[in-house]
Amino acid sequence: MSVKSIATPVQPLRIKRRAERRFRSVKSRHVLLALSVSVLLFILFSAVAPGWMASHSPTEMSESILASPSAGHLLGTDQYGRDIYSLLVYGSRQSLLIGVGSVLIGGLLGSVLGLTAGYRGGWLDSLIMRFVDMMMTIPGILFAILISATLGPSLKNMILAVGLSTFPGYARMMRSQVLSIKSAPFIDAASTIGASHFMILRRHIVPNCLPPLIVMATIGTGTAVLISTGLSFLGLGVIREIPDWGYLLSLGRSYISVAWWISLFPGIFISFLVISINLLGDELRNLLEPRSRR
Amino acid sequence: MFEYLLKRLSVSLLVVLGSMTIVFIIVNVLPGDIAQMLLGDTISTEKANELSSNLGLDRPLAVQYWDYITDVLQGNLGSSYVNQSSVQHTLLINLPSTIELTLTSSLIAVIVGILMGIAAAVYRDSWIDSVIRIISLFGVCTPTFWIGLLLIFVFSVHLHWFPAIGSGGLSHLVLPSVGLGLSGAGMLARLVRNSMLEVLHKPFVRTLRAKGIRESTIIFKHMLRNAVIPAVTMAGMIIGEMLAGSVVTETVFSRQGIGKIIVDAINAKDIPMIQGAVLLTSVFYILINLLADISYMYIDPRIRKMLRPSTQ
Repeated sequence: MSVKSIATPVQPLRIKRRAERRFRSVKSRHVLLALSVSVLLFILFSAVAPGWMASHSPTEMSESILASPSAGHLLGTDQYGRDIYSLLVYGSRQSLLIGVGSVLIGGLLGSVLGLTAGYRGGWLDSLIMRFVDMMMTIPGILFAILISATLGPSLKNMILAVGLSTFPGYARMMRSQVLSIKSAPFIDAASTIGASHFMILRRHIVPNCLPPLIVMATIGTGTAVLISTGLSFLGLGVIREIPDWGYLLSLGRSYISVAWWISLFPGIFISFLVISINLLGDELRNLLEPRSRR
Repeated sequence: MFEYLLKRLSVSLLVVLGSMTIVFIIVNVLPGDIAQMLLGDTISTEKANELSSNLGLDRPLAVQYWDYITDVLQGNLGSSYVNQSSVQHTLLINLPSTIELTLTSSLIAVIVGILMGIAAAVYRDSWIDSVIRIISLFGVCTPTFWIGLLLIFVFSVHLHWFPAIGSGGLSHLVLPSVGLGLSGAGMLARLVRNSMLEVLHKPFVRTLRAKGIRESTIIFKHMLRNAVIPAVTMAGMIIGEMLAGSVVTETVFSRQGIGKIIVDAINAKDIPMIQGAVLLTSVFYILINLLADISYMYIDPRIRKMLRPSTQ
């Protein structure tokens, strides 16, 4: 469409064309959604049953070191002759665990704080929200670096570090959500007929807060994966026999001129996982929050 | 207006104090014995206790906190566990190169992001829009360190256009800035697209068209000015993101800077250095957001007007 055509009055033909284009975009959205669900299923299967998905044992060191992608080694081998594809398959469990685990921690902590602040109001609200404001001043990745550097490298600490660095966002969102629901007439009605605070929270406020929370948690899983791979890349990850995606990527850095595949494929796995999560989150938003549909 | 600035400034100072407290809490209150970690698991507890008392880690927390706050306010960030050198000295030497990278990548992010956003809005629902959507999705969802490595592979290893690692002249700055800037551009492009679309059907745009003003003038002079306002607050956030992202990007390109200091400190378990670097970065982050708030006021006359009656 040329720049000029925005100016001209809308003609029937143009309306038809626009409708067609919109139809096409809906169709392409469904294709994208199907693709991202398949990527997620693939990674989920790899995490649950890596033995089925991998072509080699992740610790098996073949004689062909730094071999380029071939039929024998689908995505090539690293400097020890390990199969990159199998390493990635075995590494997916950790990425998913960190993504989901840290969202559970961050989302739960943030939601409880946000709910309390929004529902109780008053000094407790100010106290919690000033605390959240302060947490927000330290950029997420730095916060996670600080926590995992003090706690030492382990899977549990990594989940804790990423979770704690993301909870302020949930707290802010939940609080504003609670505030907008709290003033609705049906809450007044519920308290008039004698419902307890717990009842109001459980039956009315929490269910109404869930849709945006679900969307945020979905997209937050992607962010958590990004932060955690960043931490592993910096050397703050879990040190295990099987490297996780971020660490594998950083190992490939020294071999970038001779063996690009060591770094390329972990990056593709990370990006595809995060993109799929994001697309799924967008789709969930369209489903759960029809008002915000673009 | 002056009153507003003063208020905003004092809030920022409080926030700095708050982030100092949080950094202190993480390092000192979270479980994890620093002395034990420094010496490794094989060392006896007596040895660890001795080191703890040498480092002053066995004093009451309140005393440690008070000393920490007064030291930091006097510009003393402590000394490194590794070579006893002064933390703030090391950080200040390396700060310029991080700021350089932050600014150039932010510039790239803002220019590319706004241009992509405009193009996506003007050619909305066309293939251009889809391509830009995909680019910005990749920009947001792809680890910056990976983009950096890809850039090294293509432009250094294969094309030999730019040096792969190290710091120095302008040529060393190109790849890291582009790599880091792209992720910011992705975020900004989505926002600019949406706010441009909102302006697109405003009556004043129709009036301008009716007057026969050139389409490019309408887009770049009239629509953009309105669409860019929400992008400015976002820009403050993006500069902050670039600052935090430079930590990782510096590692990829082996650039001198705060990021490299942090990574070296992580490997040496040099807690005071990590603590100082995180604090310094947070202070900059707060400063950038303050500047973004102030510039917001200058760009949008409505906000200035809103503030004026209180000062008169």
